[in-house]
Amino acid sequence: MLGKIISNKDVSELVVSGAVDGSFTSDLPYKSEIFRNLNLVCNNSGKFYLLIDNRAEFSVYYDAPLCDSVKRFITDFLEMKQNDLRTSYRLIDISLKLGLEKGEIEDIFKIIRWKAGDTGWEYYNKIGTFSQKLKDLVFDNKVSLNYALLFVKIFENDAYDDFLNIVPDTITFSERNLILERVAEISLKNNASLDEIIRIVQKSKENIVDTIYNIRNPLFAKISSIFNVFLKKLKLTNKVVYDKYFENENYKLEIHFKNIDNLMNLLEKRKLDLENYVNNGGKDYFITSNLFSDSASDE
Amino acid sequence: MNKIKNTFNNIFIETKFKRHYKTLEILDNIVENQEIRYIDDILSFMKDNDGAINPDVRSKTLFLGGMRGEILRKCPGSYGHICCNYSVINLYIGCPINCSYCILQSYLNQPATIINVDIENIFSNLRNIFSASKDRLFRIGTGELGDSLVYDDITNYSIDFVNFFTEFDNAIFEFKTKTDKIANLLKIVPNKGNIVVGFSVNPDIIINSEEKNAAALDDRINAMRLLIQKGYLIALHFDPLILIDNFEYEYETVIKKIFSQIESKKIQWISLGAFRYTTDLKKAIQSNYPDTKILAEEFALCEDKKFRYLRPVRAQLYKFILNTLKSARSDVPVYFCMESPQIWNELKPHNDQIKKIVFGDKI
Repeated sequence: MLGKIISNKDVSELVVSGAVDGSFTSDLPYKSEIFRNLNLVCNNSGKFYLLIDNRAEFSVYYDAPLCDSVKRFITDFLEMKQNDLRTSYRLIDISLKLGLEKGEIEDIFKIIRWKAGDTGWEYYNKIGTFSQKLKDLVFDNKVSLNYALLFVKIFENDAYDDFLNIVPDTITFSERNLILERVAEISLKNNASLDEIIRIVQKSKENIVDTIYNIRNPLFAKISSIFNVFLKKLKLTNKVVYDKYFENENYKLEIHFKNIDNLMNLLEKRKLDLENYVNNGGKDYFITSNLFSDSASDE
Repeated sequence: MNKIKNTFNNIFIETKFKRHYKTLEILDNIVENQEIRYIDDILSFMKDNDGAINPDVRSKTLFLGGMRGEILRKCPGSYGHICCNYSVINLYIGCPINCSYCILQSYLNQPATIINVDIENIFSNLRNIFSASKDRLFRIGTGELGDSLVYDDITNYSIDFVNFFTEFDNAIFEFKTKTDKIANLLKIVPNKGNIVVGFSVNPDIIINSEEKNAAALDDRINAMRLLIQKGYLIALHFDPLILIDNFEYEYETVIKKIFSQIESKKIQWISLGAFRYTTDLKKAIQSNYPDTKILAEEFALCEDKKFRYLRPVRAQLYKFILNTLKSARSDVPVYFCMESPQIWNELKPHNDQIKKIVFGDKI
């Protein structure tokens, strides 16, 4: 089944059974620069269907049923890239507007790299409920669809755009995903509303990624903070290698030196720093039981 | 009361096992008239059907056939964590109980629940293994990739296993379950003393929210009672321990309930394991159970790439359970499942008895 490029003048002479406004087709990712938009015409057993874009100079004509014509139109003319959710979503929209059956559209899911079967419909329907802001974030690959779904599941009745608006554009894809996930988890655990979370983020002096992390993980934040102060007091910041979750007590001290004299001086200096800390009544937070008990009692 | 009715929308049978007595027995026990399709082998079946991540979807399709590979495998354990020397037989792959925390969500993606009907092959392999290592004590279960008893009303496998294991002195067999499907077990007498029925237990509040199709705690305890009367040994698995509001009250209630009805000397061992997950499991839970709160706690990334509650939190949970077990006058051997040496050293739950039964001389 080959598509035939015909002029729009020829199209206007056809007796049309169904026509759909396809003005949005102009932004589809065409394979070739020659066709930046096209009308789609097909002969469905003598009934002519049209997908019309007023800006299109040409039409492509398939002497085939509507569904087959749509599939050929996609494979012949469009470049479907991985994760181009915007195009995939719009092609499902177009297919629905053209009146294709559910099963026919599920066939198209495969071509447009969409999730198969019921999951595909579930995704399509859920995206349809997203705010325009969230849709754009997903379509622009600034948020993963899975994290957006999780976020919306928890906050579907909230004005979540207010929160999305305080998330800076400058953060990375994975940071944005983690923020949405952590905010959803904070709400699940503490029934915290987005308004409360927004207030805390706006008051915080730290960046939004750290602020959300610390709200999500208060005990861990406390443990880390006590340990970091401890290292600072020992003048060992960035010199000790350790398991950041304190699952074990294996610490390594990194010392860069040039010769024996230099090493002896450095060790002597370290020794003095340690003695000074201990003589001032400082607690040994390398012993995790001290660290954990003080983290818990300070809460 | 059993919440699970074993109904399937589709049944696939490996042609080789079409007339196998176990296949016919299972089909006899499935009431509905589902469409049955015969296929050459499981690999082509996997190839021709889309995978299923959702356990609900998987449990609607049944595959009856044989399984390839090793029959008796060591439980994979967890890197950097102490392993309990358990071996597993994969009799069932897939489970309809639908626990939100279930690790199988990340292991399995086949589109059907698989029941291995090639029982002769299993038993002949086991017979060879046990005979070849008479000095070794084997601890074996069938509950790794599915609940040991959830399909027992259609397979009657429990009867086959109890009868088979009476032949051996060097093997302890454990059914691990969250059901009360013990009707078959009550029909026979385990006269060797090497059959253990391990019940995973949790407070009802967790059963209701996270173990959708599991039996209620009271029903599990009742099943334990009946099994003990019949001569079976019992094991308890507090796994996963889940951090919830009123953790102490809820778990204390479970322990008190059990020990008020079950004689502690009839309990062979108790295992404790706090909830843990891999990155893949987290994704599966978020997709399959978006309302669950179990992922909303604080977690540490451990050496085996699994996330666990922070170490002081885990220690506190375990300490509470150990103390409550002591208060309930339990002298049952306790071990941790997939825990770090630090936690073992800090809490030292084991005694000489558990060392011998579970670990040999490993600890």
